[in-house]
Formats: sequence, structure tokens, C-alpha cells
Amino acid sequence: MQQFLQPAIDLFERIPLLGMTVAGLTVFGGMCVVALVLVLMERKVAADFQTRPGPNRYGPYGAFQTIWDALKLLRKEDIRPTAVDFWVWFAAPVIVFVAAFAAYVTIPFDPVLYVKDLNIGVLYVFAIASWGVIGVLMAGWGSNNRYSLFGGLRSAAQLIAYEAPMILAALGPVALAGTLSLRGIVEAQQGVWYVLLQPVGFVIYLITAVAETNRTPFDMPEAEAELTGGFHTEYSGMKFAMFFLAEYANMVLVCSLATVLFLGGWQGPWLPGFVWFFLKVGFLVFLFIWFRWTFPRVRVDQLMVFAWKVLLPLAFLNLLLTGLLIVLGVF
Amino acid sequence: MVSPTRPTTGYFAAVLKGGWSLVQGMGITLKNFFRKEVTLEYPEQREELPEGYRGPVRLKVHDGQYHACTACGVCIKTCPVACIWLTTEKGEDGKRRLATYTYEMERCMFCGLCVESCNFDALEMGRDYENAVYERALLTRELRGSLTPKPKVEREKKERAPKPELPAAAPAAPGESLAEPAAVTVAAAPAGKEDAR
Repeated sequence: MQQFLQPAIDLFERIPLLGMTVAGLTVFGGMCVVALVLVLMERKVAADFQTRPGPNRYGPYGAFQTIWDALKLLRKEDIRPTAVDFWVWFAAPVIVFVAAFAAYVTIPFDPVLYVKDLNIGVLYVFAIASWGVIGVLMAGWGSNNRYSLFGGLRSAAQLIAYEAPMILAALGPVALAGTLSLRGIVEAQQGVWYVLLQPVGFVIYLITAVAETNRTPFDMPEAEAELTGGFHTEYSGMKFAMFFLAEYANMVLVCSLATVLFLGGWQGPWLPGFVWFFLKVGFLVFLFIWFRWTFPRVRVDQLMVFAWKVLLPLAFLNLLLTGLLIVLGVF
Repeated sequence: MVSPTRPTTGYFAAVLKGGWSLVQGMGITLKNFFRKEVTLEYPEQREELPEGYRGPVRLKVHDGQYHACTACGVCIKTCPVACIWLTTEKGEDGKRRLATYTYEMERCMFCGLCVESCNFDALEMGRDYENAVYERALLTRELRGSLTPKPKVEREKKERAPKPELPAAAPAAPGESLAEPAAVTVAAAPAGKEDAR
């Protein structure tokens, strides 16, 4: 991998603008492909859980189904409701998408396959990913629609509630590795993955990650049955596709982060690094889909109580214990 | 998940118990994940429905070309929604026989009473389930088609066998008398039955 990419890396170091463009396009293309694959995976795995075959008409085992879906979305009319607050409504999907997009920059998929290794990587990812809330809130407000507004408000409340325990859970590995750099955290897991040292932190992170990505059982913001889609009710065509893309990109993002923080990133025997990385991410995504087809949706008040009264104290305890053990020299 | 209002157990016990119940739920879904698919690729694969399925009524085909209907009209009297009617004609031998047997599927409720009431084994419930049509009129079907009456010799042979059982078949009598008050459309029904015996 290193030798293979070396000429390109040298070239990009000489012409930074070219490097940035290529990196951006690569990440964007990767996101699109990942979204296409994930939608198909979601539908196939969902079908398996319901003992039915799922999409199987286009291509072998329905492999081309999502490509046709994407083409259909591209061809659709871009409807603009008359009552929307245009600029707020228009900018919302862009912000949501950019938030998901920008956070990918620091994820180390492989020892050499990453865009930029920031020394404040963890902080950067969480800060950038939090932008998404603003986009969701703008979508809810700008749509000028009660359901959308409810969806946006619920989403904002939920994301803020779950961000706190999520970051606290992520601080465990940071404390253990002694660095905020994502690369540094992966390299610090040479011997033992942090999921073994931080089991509670991993579980808390996983729960909050499901909530952060608005997935069942925490999909209040877009509860189809109650809110007719929530904040993206008024969006169609490409704008809807951007929300969709951002949703799956966020899902991969939180799974990548979980892989980096707890599952040892690219580390693993025999196979090349990025294969291990994507295997781990794939397993976590499967876990998310598994959650979706097992757990019923929680109520809004339960959601809040769970975040503030269960997850947050547990995360604090976990962090305190971790710190204590580090000071005592156990870890 | 821990209940916010009713803390029946301690905090950590509740968290652990809730977590364990989630794991159990995931075990159940995982079991289903590995189960074989239960669906059928419908237009390509069509299921043969089981013996007792009650599809649209049809005249039973005997020996590939005969129907066993004597036009007695018991089915007409039995039908709760009156979706059957028939016409008769005089055959070459001067005897009355079935001309048309009309069945209105749009009104039929598939109760199967006509099949049960038939004394001559002439009716059966089909097993079709693809009965959708584009026009309402197409649901009214003529069932006789090109079927001809079953030759009499055979019928007599068959009817002779249950004769000794007649006293034992007493419960059939109340059924007949029950049908009697409604015997307006085809008055010859009870007589035709006695003839057959």
C-alpha cells in the first residue's frame, strides 16, 4: 500500500490544491458508493430478518437495485413548496451533507489511507458532526410544516442529549492512548483493543451512536408513523437524496469512529489494514441494522430519561474509573 | 430499558436486567435471520392450494365430459346470497335436463353450502385464487359449458348402493323439510329426488 501510493503522496505534497481536490472527490465518491452499498445491505439484511428474499429483480440477488433507485431519485422533479422559508430550507440538506462529509477527513482507514491526521482528531470529528443538528433544525424550521418542525425539534433535543454521553464514552480511549489523534489512538491499540479495557464505554458509545444517527429504536425525528418522515417531509428529488446520503454517511462515520476508538482500527492479522477496517465497520453497521429489526421505537420522554439519567451517569462513572486506573498505573 | 417512573429494583440491577432483555430480543431476531425464506416468488412460482380450499364453485366433471346435475335446484334454495340460478330444457329423450348453470361470483361468499347440499355430487369448490377481472360482468359465469348429462345407467348403479342405508339417513329428512318453504323457484326438486331413488 505504502509503495503503491508513494508517488501520489509525493505529488500531492508538492501541489496541495490538487491533493485536496483529489481527496475531496475520493471521499465524496466513497460516500456515494458506501451509501449505495449500505442501502442495499440494509434492505437485504432486513429481508433476512423477516425471512423473505428482499430486492432480487435487478441484477444477481438484486445487486443493482439501489443504482436504479438512485437514478430514479436523480430524475425526480425538485418540488419547492410555496410556504417554505427558501434559503433556510435550501441550505439545510447542504449543511447536513457537508457536516457528514467533512468529518471523514481525519478517519484513518489504513496506515497510509487517510486525508489528514489532526492532532485534535477526536475533537474535530465531534465538532464537525455536531453541525448536522443545525441542518436538521433548519430543515424542520424552514419547511414551515408542523410535522417537520416537530421532527427537527426532537432531533435537536435528541442529538444534544446523546452527544454528551457519546463524547464522555469516547474520552476513555483518548485517556488510555494519551492522544486526540485518531491515528495515534489506533497505534496505541497495538497490543489490546480498547473494547476489552472499556467495555462499558463501548456499549455506551454504541447506544449513543445509534441515537446520533437517528436510527431505530431512537428514530423519533423521522418516525414515519407519527411525523410522516419528520424533518425531510418537504424534500424531494436530489435534496431528499442528500439527506439520505448524509444519513448513511453518518452511520458509517460513527461506526468508523467506534472502530478507531474501540476496535483497533486497521489492526488485525493477515489481511491488509483497510480490509480489516471495513470488516469491522461492516460488522458494526450490521449490528445497527440488527438493532433496527429487533427493538421497538422508544417514547420521547423515555429517550430523554435514558440519555440523561442512565447513560450520562454511567459514562461519567466509566471515565472516572478509567482515570483512576490510569493514575494507579493499572492500564 | 429502565422504567423512569417505577423503580422496582435498584439502579444497576435495572440497567443490567434491561440490557439482558435486549440481548434476548436480539437472540430471537438472529434465529429468524438464519431461517429459510417463507415467501414465494409469486408470478413465477404458484402455490397449489390445499384440498379444503374454497374457491369459485364449478360443476364437477365426471369421466372428462359429463356433469351429474339433475337441475333439482337444491343448491339454489340453499344459497344464502342467491348467486346461483339455472335453466332447464327438454332433451331428445323427452326428459328435463340442465340447459345453463349460472353462477354469480361477485355475490358468492364461498360458504360451500351449495356443494354440501348437492345430492348428486355435481358441484365442487374450485381451487383457483386468481379471479380478478376487469369487468364486473365477467364474474357471472356459465358453468355447464359443453358438459353433457351423465348417462342414466351409471347413475342408477350408483344410487342403488346407499338404498339399504335409507332408514339410517333419517337426519336428511329435516333438512329437506327445512328447504321446503323456500321451494318457489324450482318446485320439482323433491320429486326429482325421489325419482332418482
